[in-house]
Amino acid sequence: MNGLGNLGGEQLETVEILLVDDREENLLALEAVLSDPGYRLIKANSGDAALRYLLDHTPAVILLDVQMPGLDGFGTASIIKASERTREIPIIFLTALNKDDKYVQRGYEHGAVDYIYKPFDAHILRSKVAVFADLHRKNERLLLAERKLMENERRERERKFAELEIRNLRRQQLEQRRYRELVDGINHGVVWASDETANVFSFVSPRAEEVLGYPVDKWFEEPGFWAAHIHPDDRDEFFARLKELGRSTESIGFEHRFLAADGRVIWLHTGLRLTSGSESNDLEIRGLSVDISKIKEAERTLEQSKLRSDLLAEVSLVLSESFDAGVCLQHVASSIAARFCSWVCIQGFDHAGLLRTLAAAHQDPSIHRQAQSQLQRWNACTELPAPGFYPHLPRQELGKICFHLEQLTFLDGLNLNSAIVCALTARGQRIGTLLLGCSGPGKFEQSDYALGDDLAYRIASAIDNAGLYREAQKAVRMRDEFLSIASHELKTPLTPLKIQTQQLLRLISKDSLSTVEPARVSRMLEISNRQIERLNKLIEDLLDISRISTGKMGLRVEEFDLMELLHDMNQRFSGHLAAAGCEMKIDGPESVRVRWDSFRVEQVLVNLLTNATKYAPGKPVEFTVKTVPEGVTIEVRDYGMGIAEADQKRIFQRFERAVSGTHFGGLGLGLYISTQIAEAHGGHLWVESALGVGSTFHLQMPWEAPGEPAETISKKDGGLVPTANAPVAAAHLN
Amino acid sequence: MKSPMLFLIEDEPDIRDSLKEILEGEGYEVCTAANGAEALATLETIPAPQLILLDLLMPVMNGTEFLKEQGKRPSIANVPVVVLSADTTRKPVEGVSLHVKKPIDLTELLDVVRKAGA
Repeated sequence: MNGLGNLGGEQLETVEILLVDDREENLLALEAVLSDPGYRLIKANSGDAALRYLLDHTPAVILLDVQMPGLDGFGTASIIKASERTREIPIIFLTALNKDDKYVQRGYEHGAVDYIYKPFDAHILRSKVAVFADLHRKNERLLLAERKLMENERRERERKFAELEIRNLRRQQLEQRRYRELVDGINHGVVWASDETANVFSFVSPRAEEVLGYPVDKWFEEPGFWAAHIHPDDRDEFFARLKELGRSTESIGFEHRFLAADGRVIWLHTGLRLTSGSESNDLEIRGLSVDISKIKEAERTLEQSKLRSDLLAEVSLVLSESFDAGVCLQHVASSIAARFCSWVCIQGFDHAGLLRTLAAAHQDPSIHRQAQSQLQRWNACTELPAPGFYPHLPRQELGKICFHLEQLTFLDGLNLNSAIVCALTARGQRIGTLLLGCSGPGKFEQSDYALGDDLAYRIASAIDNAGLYREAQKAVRMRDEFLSIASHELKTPLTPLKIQTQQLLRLISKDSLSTVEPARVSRMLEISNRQIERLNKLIEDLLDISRISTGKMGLRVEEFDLMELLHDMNQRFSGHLAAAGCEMKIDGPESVRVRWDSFRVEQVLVNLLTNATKYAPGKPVEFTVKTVPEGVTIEVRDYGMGIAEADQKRIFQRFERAVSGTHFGGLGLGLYISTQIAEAHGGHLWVESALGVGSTFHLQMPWEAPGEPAETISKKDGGLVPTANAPVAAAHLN
Repeated sequence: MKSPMLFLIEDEPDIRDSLKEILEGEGYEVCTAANGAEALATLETIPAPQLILLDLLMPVMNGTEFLKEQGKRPSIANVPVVVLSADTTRKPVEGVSLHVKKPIDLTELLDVVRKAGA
């Protein structure tokens, strides 16, 4: 029967229809009516049978006879409706009985969807069944579609998931490749992975061979390879750090040395990270060791430079702090020993021209103390070492670096491996030595030699400056002394002069001048006059000094008789000589004609005479004139206290006297000026003397004073310039 | 009343003689010495003077040394001292409050001597 169940020509699914009737003939009748290729008709002859069938089948519709023995239709329907699985199956009641509404009502209450009365109409029956069959089919289709949809969705999800998986995988691959490329690209570092004890290595970047010199295989073959090649001094720290890694931190980094295959020591910075392994749950160390040797080298150089400049700064500071070279130099030596090298020794000349060990220092305090205690023994140096750089110092060469032979044993004990000897020079002269000794660690290098020179320069300058300062101080001291003596000397004649003048004025003002004896007034004026003379002489002396220092004292040379001059002097100074109890004796040829500056020469002779009367009163002063082909000598002999040998040179200098300034008056210029005058004439003035016996001054002169105007005698403090001879009247001879 | 006695210690004869004459003219008694040592020797033989006029720069024993010695001798330790000094740069002598600068102004000297209680 195609007509009814056929929807638009499709093949229809077979649906099951359950027929339940206790009477066989009814079942057959139903079967006949409902026969259709699209239906599978199931016959059940009891409620129980139907229920049994329904246990594992789901028909599209149940045709259920109401009247049945045992479990009737209603009962069956109730049970069917009670089950969740079968509840929705439409039930059509078949009954011949009551068409009564109440009955019908009961039927619906029991879950019927429809009632069909026997005898039933075949058409109506078929239509009704068809509806439910259709419904069932539709349901089934929906379910199928739903299932298909879910299936699709599931597949879609799976597909997407697979896609994601693939993308992830690809990305991972890419990352791995990039990582590998990066790792390969680190040409100054090694990437590695190992177990947590850094013993067994699971990965080493190929560059390792380039960086460290060992073939990569070695790392894997030999457990503990890595640790074994870390520098022994750094190994302990490495393992300590490893422990730390496990305990507290996730990653650490530290610097250490590694022994490369070619024997070099490479500085590495190793960063370590502890992670869980990629395959297992074991912990793994990932490490990156970067070659920082160059950086370390630069650091070391920088540090050295800083050390050097610090040392130079400190030395300069110490040297500038004081002019006391002795104390200074010891500080300097100690500074250098503290910062730079083990042994420092400095020698220099003292003012007597003696070479002395001025300072010594050692890094080790006990050796330093030893050296200090020995300083006395090395005081007067026996050696002046030649400057040089000794990068090696075999025992036999020790002699080249010592200042005193007694120092050799001491130096031997220092175990020096290299030394630097720098000359201390100032203004072109060698003034001492700076010795630097190294006893390790390390040795001196060429750059250290340069540093030594720098230090030597500064030290030499400081010593020189100290010397100059001392001289300057001395000069100032002497000048101050001179000024104080000069003021006394200048005021000395002024005092009586003033007193006499004031006294005369007082007498005049009191109108008592007439009461005073003329002789007394004369005496007063004589005293005054004498003072004026003294003042004049002093002033002349001071002016001479001034002229000498500016080179403006010119000689006025003329011909005269020396003997005549001497006799003249004797006469003029008779009063002075008498007062001193001195007799002037003159011995020599009758006449001695010379070409000198008579005024100046007389100045010299008068100076010698007055010195004799001052320092040898009561005794004769003998002038002896001797002539030789080259010139004339005048000896002036006194029998006074004499001059000590130590003073004999000194007294000819400016402001110097044989006795201290506070005891004897006089400016002490006389002999200095006399010397200048003698030398301007091309002559010479010196003394022979013995304490307690007396002194003989020798004035040695050529016959003629040199006359070239261009001739300049340069002295360190100015000098005399002989001028051309001028025929000047002997107005100087008074 | 006996005239007050001044003791003049000065090495320059011209100054020594001039001052002695003038001070005697003013009515003082004047004893002199040419240096510190001579002064000490003389002072042991005479009664203590009212005032000492002291030059600093002298041979044998200078003024500063004399002052030190004076302090050690009770008989003369308390005699007031006037220092006659030519040195303007030096600080005043310790322990001495009276100074007269050289060249000596007569009026000033006579004033100081009078005020010093002589």
